[in-house]
Amino acid sequence: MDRPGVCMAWEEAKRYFPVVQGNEDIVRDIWEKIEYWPWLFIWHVLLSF
Amino acid sequence: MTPEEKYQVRLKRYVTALHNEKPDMIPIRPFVAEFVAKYAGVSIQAATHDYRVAFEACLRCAEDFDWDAVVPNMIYVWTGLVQAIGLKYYGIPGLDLPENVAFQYKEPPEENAFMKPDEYDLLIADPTDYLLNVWLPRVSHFVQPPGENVTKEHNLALLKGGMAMIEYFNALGGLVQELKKRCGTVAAISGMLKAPLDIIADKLRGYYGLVSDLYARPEKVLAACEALMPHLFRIALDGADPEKNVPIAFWMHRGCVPFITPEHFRKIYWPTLKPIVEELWKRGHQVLFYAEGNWDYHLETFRELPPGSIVYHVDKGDIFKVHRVLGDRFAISGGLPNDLLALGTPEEVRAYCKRIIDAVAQDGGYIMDAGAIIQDDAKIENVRAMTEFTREYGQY
Repeated sequence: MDRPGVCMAWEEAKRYFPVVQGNEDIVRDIWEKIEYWPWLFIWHVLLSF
Repeated sequence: MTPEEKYQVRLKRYVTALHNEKPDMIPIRPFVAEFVAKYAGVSIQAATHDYRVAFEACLRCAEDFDWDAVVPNMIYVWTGLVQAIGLKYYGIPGLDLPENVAFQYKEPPEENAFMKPDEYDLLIADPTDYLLNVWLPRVSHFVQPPGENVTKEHNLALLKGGMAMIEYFNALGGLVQELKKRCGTVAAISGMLKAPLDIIADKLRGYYGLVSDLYARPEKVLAACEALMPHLFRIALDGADPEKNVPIAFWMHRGCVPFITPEHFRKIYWPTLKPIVEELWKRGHQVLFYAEGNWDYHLETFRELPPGSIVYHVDKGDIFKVHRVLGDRFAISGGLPNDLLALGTPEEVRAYCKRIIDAVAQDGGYIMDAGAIIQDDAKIENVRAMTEFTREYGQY
């Protein structure tokens, strides 16, 4: 998997959360929004620092 | 004028020139780096290791000099963050360099490159995964690769590094606002871009490693550049000016002839850069080609880009030739030799500025600046001469 803005996509991470009782889309959305920060970190280490 | 009024006038002047048009006068936009520390009377160590000191020095320069725009953090590496992550490839002023020497990059010998020649497939398959799990542990004294023992230093490096980066970027946003409110000065650029091939040389394989690979495994180099493209595009886009006034800075390193051959430029460097620039332009973002060194060999190639899509900054290139080849399509900046600022006299600086203005700036589309970032070797009186002469002689 390789997608800008994400280090570990929800498809890969959901094995740690086998049961989602509510709306999985919300969980996926927030998971991947927070994924942005480590992605930003590693690419800025490469490019800016 | 109030700072807000000054800001609006300067923004209009700068943006007009960026669009290759004629403003009321030539904008002045020096990329001042360690010069700000010298001017403010602080050590390079203080300005590099404590970004607050650098930011305050930048504000002081912006207040004292009549500049239209500056880069808020041209001492662009906060070495406090570098130390927290434990990055091996920096020489840090005051730590492993004398306190008044600017930070340095240390490129390992080819046999110790941070990326091994047989790792291209890993990088191509998932660049982010490769960077996090293979490259970062190699470039850091502290970060461990998966499977190794997790240490206190490992945990702290990731936590401190991540939190410090957020702190730094937040502070940078505050500085941009402070420049506007306190000084009426425009932040000259927003966001950053590097070419895929340059990144492979800069931080992964090293220059010698890259050049070997261009002959031994050119198809892998091309595929790696293609894999990096969407990430570099996203980083550039996410940092771009939402108002679409100021350009994204594209820092150009060793992707030009004679560092690489014309064939490698044509087959690898350019095809993996041009689509990024074109896509950014489609979304309304100009790119500042900060052509460090001499890129004159490639000027005709750069004409392939849409008119107005870039601003071309001249370092060691021939600014008069650049104007002849690119002047009808793109605005131009820079061209004032840094060695003149360091070693020349104010009279010589004024004379050179006059040459540039007479030959390059007559129809607008020119922004006054030195060729490269201005470090502490520049004489204050020479930077003042550049500023005052351009103001006086650069009226339209």
